[in-house]
Amino acid sequence: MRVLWAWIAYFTRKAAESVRQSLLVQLVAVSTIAISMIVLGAFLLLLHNLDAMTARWSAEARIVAFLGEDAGPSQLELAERDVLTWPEVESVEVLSRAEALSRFRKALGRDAALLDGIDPGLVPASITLRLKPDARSPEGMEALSIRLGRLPGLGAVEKLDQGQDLVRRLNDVQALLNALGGILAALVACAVIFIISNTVRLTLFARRDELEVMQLVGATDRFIRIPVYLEGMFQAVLGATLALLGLWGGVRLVAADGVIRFGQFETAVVFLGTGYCIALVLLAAVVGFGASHLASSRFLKPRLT
Amino acid sequence: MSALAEPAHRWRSERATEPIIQFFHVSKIYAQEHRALNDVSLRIDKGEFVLLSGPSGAGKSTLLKLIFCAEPPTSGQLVVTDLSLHRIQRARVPYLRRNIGVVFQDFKLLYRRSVFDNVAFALEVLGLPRGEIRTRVTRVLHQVGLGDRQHQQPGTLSGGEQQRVAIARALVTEPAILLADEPTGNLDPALAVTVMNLLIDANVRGTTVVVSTHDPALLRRYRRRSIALKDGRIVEDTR
Repeated sequence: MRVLWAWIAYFTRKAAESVRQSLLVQLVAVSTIAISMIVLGAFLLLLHNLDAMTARWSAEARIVAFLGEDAGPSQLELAERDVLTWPEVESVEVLSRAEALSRFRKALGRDAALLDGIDPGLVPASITLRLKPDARSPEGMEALSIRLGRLPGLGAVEKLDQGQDLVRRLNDVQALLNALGGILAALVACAVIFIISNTVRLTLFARRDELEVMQLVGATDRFIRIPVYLEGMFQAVLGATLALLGLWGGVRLVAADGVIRFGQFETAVVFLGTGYCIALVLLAAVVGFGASHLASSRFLKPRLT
Repeated sequence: MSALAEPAHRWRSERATEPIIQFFHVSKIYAQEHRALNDVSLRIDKGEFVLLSGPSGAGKSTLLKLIFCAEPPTSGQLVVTDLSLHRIQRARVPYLRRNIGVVFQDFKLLYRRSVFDNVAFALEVLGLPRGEIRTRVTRVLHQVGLGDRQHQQPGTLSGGEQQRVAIARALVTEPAILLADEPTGNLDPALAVTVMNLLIDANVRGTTVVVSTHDPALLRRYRRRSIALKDGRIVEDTR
């Protein structure tokens, strides 16, 4: 274990030495990586928020069926038991006449007195279905409404789709943006590989005498490469972290209270989740490792006998 | 000198039967059919001190490069410390080199590092603990007479002192073989003697030493096995 720590300390020291020796080059590389990652991160942030927005809208979709005038509470109970077995149904809410009236009163607030003296029998009991995401399409909702209307004792059925058509269109746009995001991510990865591999080659070139001596005294290929890998990963991770911090600062600036407004329209803005951020930084580390491997292979191969 | 010569001779007589470097019909051809080595066969035993002589372009440096795997032979077989270099895998080369110290005419020192770091470098590669590295580097720097210069940078030292740093770096790993390519080429005669004495000291401690030189004065001064090369061929081998 002590030997392992000694090796880790040695390689980290060597990588830090190398970074110190070419500080300006490293600074330019990290800044360029950070800017590229900000472009990618901003796009991912847009996708993430669009996804959250459509999910919120989509979750509002529900179907309400009102109890017929001649039906009793037992039929409502039977209907509830029945719909709970439907695979498309996420949850069911049953509202008796009295509960419906009380909710109506609450909704009227200060004007609740308008309902004074009204017979509770006039307000129908209802059953509300919230649907699973797959069943929220207009076709799916139509089919379920018909099925619900056929249950004994139930009268009028109302679909509250909360703009599911718009959600569907947004989903289509999202699919397109996802594809564009993939292309952008690939382009940014290529740019990061290009930047890191060139920086690594520059630092290797600056240290060519040292590398030659290392090889002469019996340093293995791996021994020479590990600090190079660490250096590339450090650049990528630092660039990605700076980009995420920059984006987070940008979001805080534009939507200090977590809501962004465009005239009448306003929507909640959420930053990328912790898992998402960690995955991005890890991905950057992998790209940094690959770029360093590429550069060191090209640089060292002709020099290693 | 005479004090050193006797134990060296005694050590050789006891152990000189085991080969450590063997060439079997080795040729090395560079571009445009330039034959740097031509059908060379040679055996150097453990503990020997060998002077390689010949004019510039005779093939001395190429012969040394083949031994530490800086170049592959074009044809023939080459065995160093029981390893056949003809078949050696690239990944094994560093482990072979850990058994071979090399001293160059141009020193190949790292001028941004201190004398201590230059020598310690060879031990860091082996992954030794820092304490042991410090002990061994200090000891070897004292051996070559640079104990008080370890914190200086090589650029501030004289040519002879720089060559001694290079020798210290080659010896600090206690290699089985020490190769020196024209180690006195850039030095005045007095410094050349100091450097040669260090190589003889290493030989006395058991290291097989191969020194290339084109200086006839050195050959006359040090009566050791001498292999003369001309146009890539061995023309004389005197013991």
